[in-house]
Amino acid sequence: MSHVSGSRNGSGSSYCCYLSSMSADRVLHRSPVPAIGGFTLPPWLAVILRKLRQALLSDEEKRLLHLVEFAIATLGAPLLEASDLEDLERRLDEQIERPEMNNLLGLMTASFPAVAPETTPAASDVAAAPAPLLGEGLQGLLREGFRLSEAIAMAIGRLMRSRGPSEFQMAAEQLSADKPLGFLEDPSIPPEVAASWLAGLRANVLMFALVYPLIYPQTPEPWLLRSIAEQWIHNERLYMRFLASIPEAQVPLDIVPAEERMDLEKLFGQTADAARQLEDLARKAIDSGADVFPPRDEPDDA
Amino acid sequence: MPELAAPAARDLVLLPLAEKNRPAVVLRVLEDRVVVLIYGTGTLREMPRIEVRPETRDGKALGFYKPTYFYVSGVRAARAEILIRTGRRCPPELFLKLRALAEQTPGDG
Repeated sequence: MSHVSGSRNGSGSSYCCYLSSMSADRVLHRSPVPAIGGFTLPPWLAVILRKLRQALLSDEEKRLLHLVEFAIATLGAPLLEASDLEDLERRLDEQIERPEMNNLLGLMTASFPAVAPETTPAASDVAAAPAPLLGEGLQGLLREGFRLSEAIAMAIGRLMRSRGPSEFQMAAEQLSADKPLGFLEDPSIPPEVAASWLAGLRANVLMFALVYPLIYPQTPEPWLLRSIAEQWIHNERLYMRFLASIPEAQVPLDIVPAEERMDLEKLFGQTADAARQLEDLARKAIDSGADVFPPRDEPDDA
Repeated sequence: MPELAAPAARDLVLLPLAEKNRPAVVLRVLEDRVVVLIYGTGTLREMPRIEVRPETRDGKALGFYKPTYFYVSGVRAARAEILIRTGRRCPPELFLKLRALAEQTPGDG
């Protein structure tokens, strides 16, 4: 482990000890974008799909589309081989931990400033193209999924304009360098926030899987497509909670109600306190010379 | 002979404690020699806990054969070299639940 004791003291002065995009002070004070930039592919794909229909792709959008196609084939396709729901979840966890995931998201993040949406599409425009191709029964789910994707894209776009495109370039570089899922174990990141980021990653892969049949000749079983669509929406909502908790993202209340938003300052503060206490525990263990500290177990443990 | 090596966060290890090897999930590793972890027990108590049942995906991933309960009182710091590695890793969501439990009130003795 590279993040040793003392690297997280809450002041930010020792931040350089731990090069991660998932830093508390980045999220709260300096740059929230690196923490979220890579987890937003579904909205990008929504943007691309929308523009595909208008035949208006720029060179940067063509580059992004090529990356998206590669991600769909590499990360999305394995989900379509799932034999049941448990297998689907297992495959999903496998994909989000692949190094290729971080690399692809890093490359895609670099493209975001060039493709970030500035306007909300008309409701009738969202998901109009892919829904029939995946089956009429999914139309309602897809419409909701793309509505959320567009909301995420708009929120990220507002953050980017607020913080500047350079944040995304930095995020792109750090994403490619980060250990997959490294934020899970980062003691400075509140578990609630990490759960939201995890959902963002899952939403990406689920989206890759969902779009696969639009590009390649494969017809997944209806139950599987429905499960993927339902999980995609569920994970998008979880991810949206985090975005909605950043005021500059200006997420509408009808997307994420006030009671579902996180108090990020409070959460990061509590996590910093807990991290210090766990570190104290480790120091006591070292000072005591004991193999295990505290050395006793619960008297009635089976 | 089980391998004795420095584990990583999310690893499932066996923690030798009071003449038993307890299943434990590594939460943090400090300076490659001290591990903060949370161990599980088969004893059900009426207090905040995370339950992992063997038939669930989490239970299968961790190789549990009976219901296992994690309590905040199961948080420990241990020397890395005494831990027995199992080759299993904690699924991401369960790991975050265990982290949240452990960070409520670390068991500092």
